[in-house]
Parts: sequence; structure tokens; C-alpha cells
Amino acid sequence: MKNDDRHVLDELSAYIDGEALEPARIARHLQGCAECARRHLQLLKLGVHLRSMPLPDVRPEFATRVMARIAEQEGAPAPFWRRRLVDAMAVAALVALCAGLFPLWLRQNREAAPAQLVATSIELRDPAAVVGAFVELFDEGVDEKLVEAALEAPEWGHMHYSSESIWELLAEVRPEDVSLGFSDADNNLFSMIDRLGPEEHDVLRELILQRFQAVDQNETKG
Amino acid sequence: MFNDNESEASRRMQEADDWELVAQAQAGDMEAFTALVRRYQAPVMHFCRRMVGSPQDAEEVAQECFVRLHRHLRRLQPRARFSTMLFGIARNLALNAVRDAARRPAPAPAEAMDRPVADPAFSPARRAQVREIESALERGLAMLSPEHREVLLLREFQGMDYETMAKVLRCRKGTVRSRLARAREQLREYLFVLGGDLL
Repeated sequence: MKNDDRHVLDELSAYIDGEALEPARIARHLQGCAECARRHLQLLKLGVHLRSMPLPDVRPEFATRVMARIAEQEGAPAPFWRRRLVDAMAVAALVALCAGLFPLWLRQNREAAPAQLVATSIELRDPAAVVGAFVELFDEGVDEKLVEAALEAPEWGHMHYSSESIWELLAEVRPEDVSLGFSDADNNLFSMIDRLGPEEHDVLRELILQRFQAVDQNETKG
Repeated sequence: MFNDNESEASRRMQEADDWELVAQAQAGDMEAFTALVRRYQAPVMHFCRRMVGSPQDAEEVAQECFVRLHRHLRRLQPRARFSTMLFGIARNLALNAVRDAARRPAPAPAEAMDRPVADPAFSPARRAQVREIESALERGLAMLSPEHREVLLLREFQGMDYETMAKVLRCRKGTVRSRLARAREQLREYLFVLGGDLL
């Protein structure tokens, strides 16, 4: 069988979008294959019908309602659970995260890294950046019962995440936004962290991403 | 939006204009933010309506999408297309709404859109056929899984290319390609079962 003789039914969708990997071969095949040509025509018609469907009306007051909601929310204090949770979870999560990941990374990348590191204090230089990530977490659809559970036990591993976007959001927390204190004799550690270059920051973000994916997978299995 | 018929230059101009409005809104100009809402309310509403089904839920989701956009206004940076980011928010909210709706006792049946569905210049028979097709498509879209429905909506109604869709859906381009092919095939089979002459 010549290459052009291979049916292209599975490739027609991408072909009609101009995204096929081998458009010339598909075009040649369509000229000689009635079955694929018929399916091609059906998919083209399907697209035409879809794009001809009526659009929903947008009520004239739509934008006004949006702006009213924004004004209303800007004037209202944050829900109590969010305030408490942001306070508790931001600190707990970052301590866990930094204590777990930075030593690992440093051990892997710096021969002189200390053997045991324990995070003892944490200060957020830009709390808004971190808190913003957590606020977005709860806006992404975390179940309220889980939020309540987290209030009882604000531990990293007790949270469930319904959206993968939180991994990306938290991966955006920059090391320079966080100051760490370690109960280790090596006082240079703090300055080492401060000296992390852009590439090392990227490594950190990747580690964080992997960490959250692992947490999520464990939660899913559990 | 960036459908196939629009030139790349035009799309880029709108994109620059979107971010200019964002910058003005970040500086406190609420009129600029309102202009963004008005610019995107129809496509966002359309996407939400088809994803969620219920007109009331769809409007709620669409409004929340812009509220959410405003909440994160300070953090927005022109690193991606504005519309990619906006539809990413809309998609997350719509999926949450779909999940919420699934927990309710009776899912809302597919409802017809509010506007006339056929060109009045058509003959009565042709209008009836168009209505039949549109009704079948409404039911067929509702039958698709949310993952297949969203990719079809972004492609057919928003005119997004595969790379943009991959960013909105946070998946690989190959996943977009396979989901879209599957969505179209399911819809085609559904229409074919209803009546071979629909396609």
C-alpha cells in the first residue's frame, strides 16, 4: 500500500483546521478515496452548522452588573474563613515547602550543603504575592467541607485541590519573596538562597511543581 | 477575537489594545475595565452558555469571570494573549459550574437560544430543517463530555488555533488535536444516527 492510500479519517479534524501534520498527503488521498472524502465533507458541514448556531443574547445590563459586583466585593471584607485560612495556610505551606524542598535542592546541587536543615522562622517579603495564590486556590473550587477540615488541621497534606492551576500559581511564588531562617550552624545558607540565580529559580519552581503534583496524586490515591 | 478570517495584524492590534486597557484599569480607570467587559462579554457569555447549559448559570459564570479578572488585575502581565487568559478563567469557572450542576437532582435540559434560529428568507421547509439541525446540535453538544465540549467551542466559536487552545486548557497541543477529533466524531455520529440527511 502506498503512503497516500492510507485512510485519513483520524486526521481530517486537524486537516480542516489547517493543523494537520501532512496536509499534502491528506489532500492527495481525498482526491482518490470516496469514503474519506465523504467524511471530510460531513465534518466541513458540521463546522458550518455549528458556526451558524444562534448566539446567546447578552443582556444590556451585563457590564453594569459586573461592575456592581466588583464594587460590592471591594467594599466587603474578605470572608472570615478565607482570612483565617490564608493566614494559617500560607505560613504552614511555605514552611513545609521550603523546609522540604530547599535542603533537597541544595543537597543535590551544592556539595557543601549542611546535612540537616530545619526551618524555624519565615517572613514574607511580599505577602500579597503569596496570599494572592491562596485566595485564587479557594476561588478555584475547593470544596467548603475541605476548607473547614483544613481550618481544623491546617496542614499541607490535608488539602485537596480540584484544579491543577494551583500548582502553577504556587510555582509562581518567588524565592525572593520569602525570607527563611534555619537552625543550622551554617549562617551562609541564607545568603546562598539570596544568591540564587534565574536558572536556579527555575529549578526551584520545577521542584515546587513536582511537589504539588505528587501531593495531589497521593491525595487522589488516598 | 482571532478567528480565521481576521488578519494577524488586526489580531495583534486588538491584543495591544486589550493590554492597553488593562494597563489603564490597573491605574484605576474603571471605564477602561468596563470597556474590556463590553468587548469580551459576548464571546465569554457564549462559551459559558454552551458549556453550562442553563442561561441563568451561564450568566452567573460569565459575570464571575470578569469579577475574577478584576480581582487579579494587579497581577496581570502581558506575557500571553489577553483572551487566552480570560478564557482560561472562564473555562475553570464553567467546569466548576458543570460539576455543581451534575450534583443537582435533575440536569437542565438543553434550551434553545433566545434569538431566531433561521433566516426568515428561507422557505418554511428550509427553516424547519435548520431548526432541526440546531436542536440536534444543542443536544449533541450537551451530550459531549465537558473536556470534548470545551475544545470544540473554543475552536468553532472562538476560532482559536491549537496552540492557543493548549494554553487555555493547560494541556498539550496533541491532546487538543485528539480531543477535537473525538468531539467532532461523536457529534457527527450523533447527527448521523438522528438522520443521515442532517449532514
